[in-house]
Amino acid sequence: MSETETAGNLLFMNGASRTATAVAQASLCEPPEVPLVERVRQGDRDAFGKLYDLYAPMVHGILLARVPCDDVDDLVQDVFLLAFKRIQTLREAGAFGGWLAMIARNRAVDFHRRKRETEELPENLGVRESADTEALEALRLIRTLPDAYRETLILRLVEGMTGPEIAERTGLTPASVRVNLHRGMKLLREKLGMEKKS
Amino acid sequence: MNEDYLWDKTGERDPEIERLERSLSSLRYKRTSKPLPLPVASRPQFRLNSTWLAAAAAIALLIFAGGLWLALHRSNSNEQSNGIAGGVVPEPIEFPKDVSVPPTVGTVNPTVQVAEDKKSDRLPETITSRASHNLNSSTQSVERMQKIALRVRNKERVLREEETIRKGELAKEQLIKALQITSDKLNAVQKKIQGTQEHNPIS
Repeated sequence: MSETETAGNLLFMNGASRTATAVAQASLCEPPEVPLVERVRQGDRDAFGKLYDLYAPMVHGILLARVPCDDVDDLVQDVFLLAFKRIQTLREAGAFGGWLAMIARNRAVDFHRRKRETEELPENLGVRESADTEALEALRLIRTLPDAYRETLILRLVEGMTGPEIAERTGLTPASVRVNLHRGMKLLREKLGMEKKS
Repeated sequence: MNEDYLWDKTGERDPEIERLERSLSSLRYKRTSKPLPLPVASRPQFRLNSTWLAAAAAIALLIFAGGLWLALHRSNSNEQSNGIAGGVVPEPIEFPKDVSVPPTVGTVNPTVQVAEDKKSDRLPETITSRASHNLNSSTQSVERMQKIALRVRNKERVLREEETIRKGELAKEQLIKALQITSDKLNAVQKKIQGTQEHNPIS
């Protein structure tokens, strides 16, 4: 076995053991949102405020991967309002993150459907004035990636969340988040290289 | 590429990822000062979703079908018991009480007849034989009437049974149709629920 293969295997084993540790930790500890969700169900509005603080970056990232920048903040509020209204339908409090992520994805789809029904907006309307060109260019490239990669990459690179945090918030497995990050980053590097060349 | 840094920001830093993080951080979520306009109250409430609706419809249909079946079963058993009783023991027919006195031909004054009877204690033979003959013929006619009545009653019973069977068949067909419709609807609801769960597996 060559040295490169051995190093690759060790790296893979190291990554796998880290992922397994993250899974074990996730299964042992009770998610912090569980008591908050229970309190919200009993009518505690402050608890919902805490859930908002905890999950707003995730919802923001999911929406940023799909809708124009200028509409993201309004849609974040829409998603949380919808979640507040429907929280009694959530069966498991521990699944709040995944449930909220699904609401955000559905809201993004709904946004595009409504936009098509009303009028076509110009491409450059969603450009934020304050954001620099490099950021917008990088975001544009990330948005060209497949859904799973762009969402995970935006949560990691834009919202500054770590892989385990992304897994915990979105309800995805740490292994799939790791794969998405790795493959997404590889694709993004290729696209960035191509951009530089051109 | 440094995989650890990409995964949990540990290990050797990757300059390209750091550069991307720095530039993209301008798009990061910023907590707005305006509070989230939450609705007045979100109390626990019973929501009538499609699953509950389907279950309630199924239960109602089962109760209805059960009731219908019981009603049909009871009516059938009643008909059968009535039919057996009518077949074995025919109902007694009321006959006129003066059967023994045959109807006389022509108009006879009853007072004259009584007077004539009083004149002689013993009746002449011709009169008694005629009376016995009349008595026999009246008994035969009564028996004939009884037979006719029995035949008519049996025919009515058969007709009633046929009618009941026909109604039962009709009700059965309707019940099967209703069950088929409900089954189709339940299948549709189930597919819809499954579709929703696939689309939104957690909620």
